[in-house]
Amino acid sequence: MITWDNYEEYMIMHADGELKPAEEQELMNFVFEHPELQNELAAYTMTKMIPDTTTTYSKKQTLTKPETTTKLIPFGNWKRSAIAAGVVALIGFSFYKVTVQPNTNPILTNTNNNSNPSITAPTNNKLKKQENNNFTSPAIPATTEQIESNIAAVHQPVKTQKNRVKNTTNSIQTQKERLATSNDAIANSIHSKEAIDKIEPNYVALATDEKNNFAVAVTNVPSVAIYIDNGQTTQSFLDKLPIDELKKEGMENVTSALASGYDKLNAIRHSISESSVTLKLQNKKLTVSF
Amino acid sequence: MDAKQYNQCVQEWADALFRFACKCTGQQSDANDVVQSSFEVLWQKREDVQPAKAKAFLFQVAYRQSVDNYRKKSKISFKEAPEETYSPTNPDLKRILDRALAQLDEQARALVLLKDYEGYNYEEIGQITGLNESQVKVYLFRARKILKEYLVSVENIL
Repeated sequence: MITWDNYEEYMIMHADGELKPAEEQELMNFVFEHPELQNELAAYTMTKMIPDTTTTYSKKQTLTKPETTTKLIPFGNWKRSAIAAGVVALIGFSFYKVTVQPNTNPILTNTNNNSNPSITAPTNNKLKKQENNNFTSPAIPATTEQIESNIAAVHQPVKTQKNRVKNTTNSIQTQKERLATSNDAIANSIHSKEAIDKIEPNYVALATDEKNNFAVAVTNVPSVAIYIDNGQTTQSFLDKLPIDELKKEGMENVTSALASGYDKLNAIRHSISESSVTLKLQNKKLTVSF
Repeated sequence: MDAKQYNQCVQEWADALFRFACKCTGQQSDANDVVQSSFEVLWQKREDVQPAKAKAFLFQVAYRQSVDNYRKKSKISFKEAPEETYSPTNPDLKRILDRALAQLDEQARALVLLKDYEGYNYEEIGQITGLNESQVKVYLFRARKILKEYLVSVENIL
């Protein structure tokens, strides 16, 4: 409320423009009621300074700075991003290795020298058809000595695996039967090109036994598969490789080693699935609890 | 704040800062020094000053240099300056107000200029000068009364 004691304060605030609309109205009413204060109010209003806009600073050019156009690319957190990507990739790869379910069906890898090298898995019907026709052996060695040596090499990993496990799956037995009958097929068809054409191409079989946690690889890839007809020589895919006999035998051994490794991997997979292992990715730690 | 924004501040506020410094220091040469040093400080602190706050920052620096430094050096000689002899042929209000302004001390003069020239409110003036809002209000109250008394006395002479 405006009184004689504080009216000057209101007049000065009026000159400063700090009064609210209601206070302005109250001041105007007070001055209207006391006309002798009109000159004083006008005097306070006149104390408001008026800037002289004609006065300018003439040395602006000395104050300005050159404007450089630099474009900054923020790249401050690249280390954290790289570490995060690496951790995600590592975890993803680990889960892939653990969770990928191996195909329990025999996987046949076609190793013939066809123009289409795609991997195929023949059906059981196809295998039965091959057995009925006695064309279970895909390899056609050239000589009897080579045939015997190759067959012995082919049987070696199978026999080794047989000694390890007594109860194998039917697919493994099928492979053994096919190998056992391969000698007759080779002997009967070694001089017949038509028969060779009907023979199933070379293959490598990989079978697993879920119950016994066992896997075995079967191969009958011969080191030499040749027949001679009108001076032309046909060789197997393996023989066309520019490697010596020792390396070819080594490749066959690799198949056996792969079977052993698969056996171990399968065992690890079963162990993990039965031991309720859990993986937790916390803020900065990967916790593995058993 | 980058160089482009700084140069915009020079174009926008150099004149107003110069007028403020002229009134505060009373001498154009000192006002030139105040303006130059104020913008130099702004350039050095450009990373910390937002463009919207650049004007207040400039006046803050100019106020300190004008009031604090020049008061210590006693270079301001408004009161010692010979007043212009009043002439009925030169009755413009601006000259009377300039003489009235010279009656104020450095701080009160700066507050009046910040209020009337730049239109800052009490709170903003407090932020620039380092005073609280009540102090600003009291100082301006006293300054207005002095200015009013001077105007009334001149009017009485008239």
